[in-house]
Order: sequence, then structure tokens, then C-alpha cells
Amino acid sequence: MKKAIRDLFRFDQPYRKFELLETEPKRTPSFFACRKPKQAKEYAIEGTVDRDLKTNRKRLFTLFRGADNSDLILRSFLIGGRVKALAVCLNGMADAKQIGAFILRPAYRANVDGIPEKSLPVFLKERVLSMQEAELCADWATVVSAITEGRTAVLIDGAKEAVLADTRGFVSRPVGEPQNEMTILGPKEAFTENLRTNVTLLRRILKRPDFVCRFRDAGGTNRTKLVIAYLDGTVNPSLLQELERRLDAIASNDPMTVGRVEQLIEEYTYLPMPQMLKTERPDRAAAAVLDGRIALLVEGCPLAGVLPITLGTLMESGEDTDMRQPVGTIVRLIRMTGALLSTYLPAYFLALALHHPGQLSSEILETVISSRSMVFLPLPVEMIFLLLVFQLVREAGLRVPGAVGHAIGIIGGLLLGQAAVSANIVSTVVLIIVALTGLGNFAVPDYSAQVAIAYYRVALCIAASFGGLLGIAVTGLSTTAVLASLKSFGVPFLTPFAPVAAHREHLFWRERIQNRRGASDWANPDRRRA
Amino acid sequence: MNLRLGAFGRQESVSLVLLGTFVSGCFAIDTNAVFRDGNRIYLVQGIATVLALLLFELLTGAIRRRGGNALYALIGDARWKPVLAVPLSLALLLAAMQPMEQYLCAITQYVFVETKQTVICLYLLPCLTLLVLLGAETLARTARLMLPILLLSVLVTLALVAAQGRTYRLYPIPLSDPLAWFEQIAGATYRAFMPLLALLCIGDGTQTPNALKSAGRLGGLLGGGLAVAALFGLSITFSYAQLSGMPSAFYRMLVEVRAENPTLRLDRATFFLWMTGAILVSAFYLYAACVLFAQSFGVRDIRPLGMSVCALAVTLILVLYYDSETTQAVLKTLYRDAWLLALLPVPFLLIRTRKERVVCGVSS
Repeated sequence: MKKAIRDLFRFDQPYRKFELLETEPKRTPSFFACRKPKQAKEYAIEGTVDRDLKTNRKRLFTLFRGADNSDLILRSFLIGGRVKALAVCLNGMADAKQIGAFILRPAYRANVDGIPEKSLPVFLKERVLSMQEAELCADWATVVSAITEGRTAVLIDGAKEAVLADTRGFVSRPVGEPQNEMTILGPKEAFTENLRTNVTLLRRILKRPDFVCRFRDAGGTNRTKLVIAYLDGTVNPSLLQELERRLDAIASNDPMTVGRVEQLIEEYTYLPMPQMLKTERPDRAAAAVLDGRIALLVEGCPLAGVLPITLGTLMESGEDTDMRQPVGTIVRLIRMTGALLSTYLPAYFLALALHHPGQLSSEILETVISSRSMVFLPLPVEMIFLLLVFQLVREAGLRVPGAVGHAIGIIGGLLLGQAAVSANIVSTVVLIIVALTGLGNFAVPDYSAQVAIAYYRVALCIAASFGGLLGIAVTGLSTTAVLASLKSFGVPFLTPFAPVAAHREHLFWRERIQNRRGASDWANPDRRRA
Repeated sequence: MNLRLGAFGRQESVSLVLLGTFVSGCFAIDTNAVFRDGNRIYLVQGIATVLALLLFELLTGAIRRRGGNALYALIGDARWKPVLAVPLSLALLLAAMQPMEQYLCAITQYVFVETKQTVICLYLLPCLTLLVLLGAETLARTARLMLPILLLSVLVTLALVAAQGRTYRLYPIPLSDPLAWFEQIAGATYRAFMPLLALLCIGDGTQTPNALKSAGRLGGLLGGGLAVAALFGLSITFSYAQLSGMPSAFYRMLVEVRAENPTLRLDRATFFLWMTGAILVSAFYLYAACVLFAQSFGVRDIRPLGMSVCALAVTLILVLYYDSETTQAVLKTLYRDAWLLALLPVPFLLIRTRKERVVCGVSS
């Protein structure tokens, strides 16, 4: 009791209640401290491999926190029964069978008489280890990075180089079907979380010697592997250089995915419109690479990021080119109409109903008035409320497994809508408008673009409810101007309309396959005909 | 210097000039003054387009001789730099105010009756400022995007008007008053010349001097032609007596079209679509004025200047509605004689270049 009272009146933090304090020791408290960019702390991984095996062992043990990390394996052995060596790997990341069969067993049996210690790594790589991939490395950071990837580092006493053997054998998901970009006519393969598998999926489509997959770190402390895939000689070298520069500038401790990398390297962070296409389809990524663009694959992410993009890229579906040209054109026109309806219809209806009723025919006006006669919410609030409910149903449907997700969609769409109308919370006219808006929104193939359109839709609705068509006009003009100023990795977002490009990639109708000639010129490729 | 010029191609420049010539030619006219004693505007506009293009040719020729790509090449090293730059910037500012003021008038009279102009300006100002701050590249691209829709709406309206127009409404053409002809031609030339002048101000953003020249020619000619067609359409829809007391005659024309075709309930939507064109053109002029001013006075960043100029333009428009009669009289005089501000510095610029050529010829 006494302690409780004392705790109640004490100013400092009670001893047993742990809390992370905002101001920690050695940090200067400052009003603007929160504005400082977050800098990633670099590990002290530098220098080269030491000649002394004990030193190397100790360094690795400390670095990998061996006392706590029980999956760190430091296996000592004698090469040819004479020279001390150490095999280092992470349990689960490396395949134990491969280590036993192709590293330890041949090393025991090797005859190393008369070979000096400093030449042993070369001897081991060329004569002993029967691995598909093995390399010599003296750089300590590379050795550490290789171990974290699942490779095995063999360190030899007296040698200044380590042998890095590829023993990666972790479990990964097999290639499956796309979940979000389903097509009827197109291929049914999707990227997985395994980087190697993803590269293979691309290589199976792009059977060309000039297709390059450049492996590198994503930056930051986590050193996530990523692949920059492009066609050498087709891609614009300055675009590649710029991408490398932006990737080098990444200093984040977060685990990397394509979405995070996009946010870290894009130019306009505050705009809702995506500046990189995220696709789970290898055929779509391969088509973009053939078009002179770059595909970005990140370890552990089943998506490829395609850059640069335009509005047309976001409005294309994977199977557009698989359809016959007239059918493809009609589908594309329907999609564009859907996108326009989805963006402007609720705002236009609000503007007419609230500020310009003279523009509606008396019959429609009568229907609107009679359907809203018992609804207590004001029209703008009702519209925005229903749009939010639509987004809620959609998000709920996305986050739950397949069958339940569909059920939520049906419950949300039919039962909730019907119940809301019966309870006079919403009117039927507004419900129809929101339903049409939702359908139009689903016609947009890219998820990020769908979400971005939802932002613009709500902004337009708010503007329309205050200013009618004047509000829509000024908001629409501002939005168009902002989109016109937007650039995805140096390519104007509204190309080929503004600015006009020589290669008229049609947004509204699909061009004939026979007319497709190489890469789009808005990506400014090296060779126009890839 | 952060002028936010960017880079834009020929089609974008043509779109800007075309839109500017059309908007200034049609939406910036003062119907009370123009249709006072008859209807001559469709003839005047044609003559003004030719004169404006002539001035543009002379100026581009002078710029080319100075080895530059923008108007600043002509005034950059002049001793009386501010004296030349200020009137031109002011002329652009006034040209930007005219379509906005006309639209403000139309909105408060026909769309949002009893709404104060200040409220409407609260909608216009952020959009205008954003456009100016985004710079020439964005303005040109937005113009390129909007032009097809605007053109379509204008042409459809004109086609509908043509079906019900009466040619006798074109008369009388007042031939007796030469001073009135001169005044109207000067005013129309000023309005037709402003988009070309604005293009010259931002010429550094175009790809080549030739692109600048051809964009000006093509945009001016097409825009002027379209303005003549639109004014002709207006003239056959209403008589001059009706037009002289009719502010925002183009909106009335839209309403007339709708009265004849009751299924077309798009007059308000079309009106606001045209308004976006007017805002874009106003932003173009204001931006050009800012660029000229910034280059002449060594202002390194155009953004504070752009914001101030936008606020100034909107405030001056509001002054026309609210402030004392003296201020209004001064502003109206400036409005009426704005052509003097725009056209008087031009001969000086041309004479300077001519003198230099003579001096160069003698020395060489």
C-alpha cells in the first residue's frame, strides 16, 4: 500500500515499469530531432580474412552472436588430415547433405602434402570441392554476406582467402498461379519468394543472350538481395545508372520488398499514384523488359517491379495482347470508361443534385427526391459514407481467405446495401451510383492505381459537394496538372499524350500485333528496334 | 535560377498558344464595348490575328539575330531593362485577369447567383497558383491533354449553333467610325498577341528556335481561326443589340443550344470545361509574366514571385467588384488601354536590334 502510494506520487519512472524513452542517452534532445533522416547503422564489417583461423573463428562467433544464435554452425575439420580448416554456415539456410557430400568428405580424402597453406584455397576450389559454384574471397564483408545467404564459407589456417561454396538449400514455395492478376487466355505462372526461381521464370521467357540479371544488395543494413533485369543494348544506360544511384542511396533498416524499394527510390513520395508497376506475372515483367524497361526482383517478394511506367502501363492487363485486336480494343475502351466513371461519377452526381438540379431531367430529379425522402444523412455525407463502406468491404474481402472473402463481398454488397436502404440510412440512387463506381474501379487492372483513384474520387466528391461543377473543374484541372508534372524515373507519366511520343502507344484502342516494332520510344532505349 | 521552365515539344507549345489565342479572343471580350454600335468583331479578330502573327515574326526574327531563344535575349542587356520588362509583364497580368474576370461575372450571374465573387475566387486561386508553381512544362502538357476535349466541345457547340443561326444577325457592320475600328483592332491584336508574347517569354523551354517559331505560327493561326469561327457562331446566334447587354455571351449561346436540344443537358459541364481552359491560359500568362520579371530583375526563384502574382491578379479582379470607384476607374482604364502596354515596347526592342545590326555591319 505504502509502495503503491509512493509510486503514485513519484515523478520519475517506477522501477518495474519498463518503457522505451524517447530521449535516450547520448542523443541530443532537440525540437527538430524528429526531422533528422533515419540513418542506418552500419555493422563494423570491414577488413579482410585473417591468416589465423582462431581469429577468424572468434570474429565470426562475435559477429553472428554465436552464444545466442544456435543456428550458427562452426565446423572444424582437417583437410587431408593435416591442415586446420573451418566450415561456417547457418543451419536451415544451407543444405547439410551438400556440405557433407561435397565439402567435408572430399576435404578429408584430399592429399595436400607439399602444398603450402597460402595456395590451399585455390587447390581446394579447383581439385577438391565438387560444387557447381565456388569462389575465392578475401573481403570479410562478402564472406559474412555469403554466410547469411546460405552459402558455406571454408576458412583455412594460414590462408588469406576463404572459399565460398554454394550450398543454399532452404525451403521455398513452388511456382503457383497468380492470385491478383488472373487471366483467362494468358500464362498461369506467378513469381515466388525465391529470387533464383524468379530469375529462372524470366529467363525461360527471354531466351536472349543480351538479357542481363544483375544481382546486388538493396542497401541498408539488411543487405537484401535484389536483381535488376534488363536487355543490354535496349535499355537506356542513363536510366540504369539512375536506378543504381537511387538504390545506393537507400539507408533503411526495414526488410525490403518491391513496394518498399519503390517508396525508397521514387521521386514523388506524397502522390497516391504509383510510379512503378508491381506485377506477379513473369510474362508481364518479361514484356516490359523487351520494351526497354527494367524489372526489379527482390529476395523474399513474389512481385516484380517494372520501371519506368506511364498511365497506359497501369491500365493494361496481362492478356490484352492475347486477345484479338477488335476484342482487345473493346475491352480496353470498357476499362477506360470504367476508370472515368469510377473517378468522376459520384462527384458529378453530387454536383448536379446539390448545386445544378436544372441539369437533371424532372423524372430523374423526382426519383432522387423520392428515394432520399426518408434518408436522414445529407447527400454528400451519404455518398462519402457509402464510398467508405465500399472500401471497407473491399479491404475486408482482400484480407481473408478466398471463400470467406467472396462471402464478405456478397454480404457487404447485397445484404448490407439492402439493409441500409430498408433502414433509410442510404438511398437507392446513391447505392446504384456507388455500385457503378465500384465496378468501374475493379475494371482498373492495377491494385495501386485502384487505390489512387479512390483518393481522387473522394477529393472530387468533397470538392463537388462544396463547389458543384466549379469544384470538380478546379480539382480536376489541378489533378490533371499534377499528373502531367509527374515522372516515373524520368519518363512523364502521361506519355504518349503529353508529351507526345513518336511511338503512339494507344491507350484507348489496342494496336495490331503486326504493328508492334520493338521498344517504346518514350523509354528512350538505345536501339529503337530491340 | 529556379524558373521551372522544363522542356516541352512543339505540340505542347502549339496547344498552349492555340488555347491562349482562342480563350483571349472569345472569353476575354467586353461585350458592352465591342457590340456597342454594331457587329464587327468576327472581322476584327481575323485582322488582329494577322497583325499579332506579324509582330511575332518580327520579334522571333530579332531574337534569332541576337542568337537567343526567348524574349529575354532582346532585353537582357538593355540599359532600360526594367522599363521594357515591367510594361510587358503588366500587359500579361492584365491579359490573365480578363478571362478570369469574365468567368467570374458569368458564374455569379448565371450559375451561382447571389454568391459573392470572393467565394468563387477562393476556388480559383489555389488552382491558379498550383499551375503557376508547377511551371511551363506542366502547363504545356496540361494544355496538350485538354485541347482535344475543349476543341471537341467548341466544335460540337458551333455545329449545333450553325444549324439554327441566322446570317442577317451579322449586320450592321459599322463602317462610319474609324476610331472605333482602330480601338477594336488594337484591343483584339493585344489579346491575340498575348499568347505569342507569353510563348516568347518561356522560349528557353522549347527545343529549338525553329520549334518556337513554328509553334507560334501554327498555334496563333489555328487559335485565331477558331476564335473567328466561334465569334462568327456567336454573331449569327444573337443580334448585336442582344449581345451589347449580354455579359458572358458564350454561356448564353450554350444555353440557347440547350433550349433547342433539350436532351443535351451539358451546358453547365461545357461551361466549366471551358472555364478550366481559361484558368489554364491565365496561369500561362501569369507564369510568363513571372519569368520575364524574374529574368529582368534577377529573381532567382520563381515560386514566391508566382504565388504573389497569382494573389495580386485575383485581388485586382476583386477590386473591380468591391473597391472604390476611383480604383475601379483606374483599373478599367488599364484594361481598356492594355494594348499600349503590350505593343509600345515592341518597336523599341526591334529598333535596338536593328541599330545593333547596323553597328555590327559598320564595324565588320
